[in-house]
Amino acid sequence: MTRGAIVAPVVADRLWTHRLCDHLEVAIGSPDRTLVAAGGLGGDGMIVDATSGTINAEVAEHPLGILSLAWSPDSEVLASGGQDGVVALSHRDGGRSAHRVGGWVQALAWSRDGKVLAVGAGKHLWTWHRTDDRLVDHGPQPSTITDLAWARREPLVGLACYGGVRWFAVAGPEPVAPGSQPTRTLDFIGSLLCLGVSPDGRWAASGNQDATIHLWKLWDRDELEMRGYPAKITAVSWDATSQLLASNGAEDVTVWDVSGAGPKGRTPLQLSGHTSLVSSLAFQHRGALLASCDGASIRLWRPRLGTRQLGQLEAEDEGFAGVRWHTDDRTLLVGGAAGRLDAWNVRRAR
Amino acid sequence: MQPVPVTVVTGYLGAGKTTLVNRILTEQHGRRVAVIENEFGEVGIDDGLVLDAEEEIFEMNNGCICCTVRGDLIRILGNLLRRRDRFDQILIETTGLADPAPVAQTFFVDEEIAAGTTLDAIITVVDAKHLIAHLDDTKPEGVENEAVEQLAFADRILLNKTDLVTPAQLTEVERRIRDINAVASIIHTVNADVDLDHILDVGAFDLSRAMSEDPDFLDEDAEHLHDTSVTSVGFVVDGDLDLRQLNDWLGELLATRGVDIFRSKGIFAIGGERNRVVFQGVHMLFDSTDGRPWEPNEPRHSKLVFIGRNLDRDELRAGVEACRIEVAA
Repeated sequence: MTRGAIVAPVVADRLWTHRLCDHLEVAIGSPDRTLVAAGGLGGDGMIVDATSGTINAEVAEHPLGILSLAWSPDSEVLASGGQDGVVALSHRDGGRSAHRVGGWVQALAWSRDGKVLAVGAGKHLWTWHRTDDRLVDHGPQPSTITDLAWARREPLVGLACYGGVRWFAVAGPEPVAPGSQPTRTLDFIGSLLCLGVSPDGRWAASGNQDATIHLWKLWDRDELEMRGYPAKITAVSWDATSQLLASNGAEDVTVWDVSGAGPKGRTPLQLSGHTSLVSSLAFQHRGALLASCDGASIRLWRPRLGTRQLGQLEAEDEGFAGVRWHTDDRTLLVGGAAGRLDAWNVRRAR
Repeated sequence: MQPVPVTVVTGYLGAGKTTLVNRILTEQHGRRVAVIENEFGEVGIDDGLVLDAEEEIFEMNNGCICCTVRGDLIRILGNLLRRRDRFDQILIETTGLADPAPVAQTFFVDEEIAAGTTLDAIITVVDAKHLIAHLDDTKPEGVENEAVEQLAFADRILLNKTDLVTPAQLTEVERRIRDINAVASIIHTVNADVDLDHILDVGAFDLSRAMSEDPDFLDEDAEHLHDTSVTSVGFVVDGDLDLRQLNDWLGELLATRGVDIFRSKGIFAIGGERNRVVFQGVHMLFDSTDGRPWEPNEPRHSKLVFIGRNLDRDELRAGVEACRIEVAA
């Protein structure tokens, strides 16, 4: 193992490295913590044993690039979507299927019970129903679906589009009529780029092209808009307590505290250190650490305790393209601008 | 990494855009080109990539009423920039009826695209035989004539199918083009057969080349025989301009009249600045960059061009003249 250039009070040891053929932003751990799946813009992808780093299987190839990956909650099925307009399903037992849906498959999200996979493909919402292997096209939305998220308290999937979030009830046993109207809409005149629902199901946050965050309290009519970012917001991440919302859109990471009455009137935390726009960020799934990356560095923070940076990794032979915590919350999955995939074990410095 | 030059090809239906794009895709020109166009289907080609775009126009929440951008282009260009080492050049082909403004404004509004690309030139392909009919096509109230808009936005105009008209007709077509856009260079072609060095990576959007040769229309006595509502107005102003006054004036002008001003371009001599300042705007959006340094004995003067509707030459000249720094006698 190679010791990373991370500084106290946390250090990182490299566990394993692989290489895809081009830019890699999407790497995710399986819910059972045993596997990591990664897919790059070169169109290739792999499923790796999280501990040993051994390649377990190839992800179905998506010529022109893999844009999205999602593990089913039972870790049995990996869904992948690409610029080729195909959503592919790789089953743990080796079974595979591929469905042509058209458009760029930018977003995939499994329902909490794992029975329904929601697919954002261009302007169309599709769902794949696992129990009867049924694929349903819910018809075109008014604009391209940029992100998807399931509500926590109701069986609704939210679609981020231009004009707001459109919530559909697609998880029920009955087939959903194509072209059906949304069950709810959260309106906002602007182009939504990413969507995050807080783990407690209380909030939905969108990052927007016009350099704002829009925050809705689900399900009443309360909404807030956070302005003042220098650039569009392409990444938001909730912490496990649903109290902190981290966002990019600047060289600083901005963290809003939504506890109590909400963030209105509060000044957000500004985590400073990056030297160019933050491209990717993620809170741990259950812990309090936040990882953020620009092309040159990955930085670790614990916003609950303040703005102090806890550690840093410097890019080596290629820039960083994306960072995500593995589901074990100890391993940092790092994608490179030329296709490199690194797994780093993060621990306290002795 | 150097910004990737982007060429936008516009033109009315049947003008020869697709012929031009196919030429760029198939000719051995040594450039790796990624092409973004409509309804082609996405395929990898030998030295590049063809990407499918479905026109999606968004309004921006930036207080600018005419600020629309192409959401599809933001996504596609953003994606291409993640693989930028694979391309030398990006080419966007718009549909025949497309308004070029949202395409051009995309390059001003999205910071990732502004940083990673440079809008190299808007090339408008026109059909020598049918252009005048398209220009004279009466549109319902409030509907823009796309053929006029596409000429107004052009940095270079490919006057195609010249073999189908007489020399006299060709002269008349050129005159009609010049009435609308007096700055763009016009290249005569048959079958869109053009030396690609004249349209790819030419740096035409910033106008420094076009404006280096004083076009006739900068002369205030130049006559505009045809009465058309979209015209070009240009000035040369000797001496230095005051930066703050110029900023205030241009900011106010474009904020209040930007709906009518399609393109604005300028090369300025700013008091105290060693370099020329190159300015460009699309409707209400604008930015400026440093140009080359002024030579020691080079007369310092500013050139400014507006292309748009209902332009009042005297009012615009008075505006820019008011920004001059008076030199004490």
